[in-house]
Amino acid sequence: MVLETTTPPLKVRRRSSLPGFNTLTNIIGWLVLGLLIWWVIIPAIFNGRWQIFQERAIWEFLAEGLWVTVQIAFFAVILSTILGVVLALGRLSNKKIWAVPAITYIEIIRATPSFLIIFYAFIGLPKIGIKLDSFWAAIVGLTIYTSAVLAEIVRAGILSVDKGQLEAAYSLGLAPFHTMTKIVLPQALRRMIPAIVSQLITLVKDTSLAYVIALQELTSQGRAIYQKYGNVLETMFVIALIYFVICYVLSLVSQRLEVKNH
Amino acid sequence: MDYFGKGIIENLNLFWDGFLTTIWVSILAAIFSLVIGLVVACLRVIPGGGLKIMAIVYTEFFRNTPFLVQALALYFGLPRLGIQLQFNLFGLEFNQSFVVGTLALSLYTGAYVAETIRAGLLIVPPGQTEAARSLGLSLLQTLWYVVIPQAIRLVIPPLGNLYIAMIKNSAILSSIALVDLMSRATFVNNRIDRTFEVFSAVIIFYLVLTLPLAWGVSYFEKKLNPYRARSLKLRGAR
Repeated sequence: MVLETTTPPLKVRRRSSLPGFNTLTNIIGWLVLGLLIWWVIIPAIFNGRWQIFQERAIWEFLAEGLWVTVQIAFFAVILSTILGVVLALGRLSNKKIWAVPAITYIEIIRATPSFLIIFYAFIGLPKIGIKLDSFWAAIVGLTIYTSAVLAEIVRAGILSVDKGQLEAAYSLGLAPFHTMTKIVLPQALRRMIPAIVSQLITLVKDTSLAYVIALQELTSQGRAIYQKYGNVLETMFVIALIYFVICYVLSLVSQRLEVKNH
Repeated sequence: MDYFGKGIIENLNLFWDGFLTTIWVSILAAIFSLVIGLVVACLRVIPGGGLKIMAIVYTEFFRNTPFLVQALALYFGLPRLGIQLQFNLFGLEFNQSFVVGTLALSLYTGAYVAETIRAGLLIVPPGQTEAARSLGLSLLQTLWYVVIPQAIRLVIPPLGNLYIAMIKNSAILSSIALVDLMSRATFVNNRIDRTFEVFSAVIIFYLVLTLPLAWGVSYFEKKLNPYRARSLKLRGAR
């Protein structure tokens, strides 16, 4: 016979924040959900406008758009992280010549709609001699916007590094530059990864705005489909579902990383 | 004479029109999204199956899909279902773009508001609810008089940030033919062909809307949590 020496696991019942309202809300809830499924969702599924999604060509068409979307998001997140770190360092600098431009850039761009920035990156940059096709214009526009947001995240990350780390580095005789690149930034960036991933979600959603500069990414492909077949709601639902899968997975990743960090 | 900003000043009345539309859409969507967010957040903390599932599906779906896709789907999709959303009210005419734009913006922002308020509601300790229950308050009374007042002051700064984002997102509504600041800017730009001037002007208009909100947010953040705003100079340790 094995002697059980370990204590039995403690049973923790998670307390509801609103105890004592179980039966009535439950009944109403299931009733409403049932009616919704019966009146709205089932008719929507069997309305016969989903036929075109049985064809392989449609999915290949959408996959082309998805590939463009993924590419833009990828390039934009890399570029804007680099630019964001530079901006954050500029903002935290003691020298006014770095701090003032960085603060101005961050504050103005953060207050401006990303839609506006993407559009004007496309029509404005050629006027000052920078020729960009819509693919790179979208990347530039998204980078301009996201770098300003990421700069604030990076700044928060740098400020969250314990001051003792800085003091230790200085007392060991490290130069400010090495203190930053070898001591502070590695710790700060590790802490910021969840925030950067959640910003990536916004970025993936913002790639849809490249629709306005006629880039053939996922949303534009969707528009082409519904203009041809006349099924707006169904097509847009499929498009939304594709975005949803990407963004939801990213949000799960972000949550997982956040739990890991703490 | 041709000076910087001439075209803007000549077309200022066009910008003003768009500016007012942006403000109106933002105010209405702010109110509606707050209502939606409160209701959905409450549905998510109330124990009980169906409503909770719907609330979760709503928040997750609207938060994780692009606003442009939602706006386009509603704008072109609702008329196909036979829903025409344009009406006269108090002598004011609300066209399809305005109504659908406000609706889409409220739904999108409402999902975020719901998440934020839910986070606030979950911070309130369960003991508060139990105390309210043992005093004999009903479900809605418990939420309205006990839980929400405690939660709301925690969520004021994040809500402010959400509304800043909402004002910026309202620019997207120009792609469903809403005559707002953004679409007026495009119109003026096509007319005078001064991209940089037009761009600067629009940015200034958006700054007028968002900067006061941002200042309000940082004021409330400092007021509610004075220890969060700590300053650190990079070379301060020397």
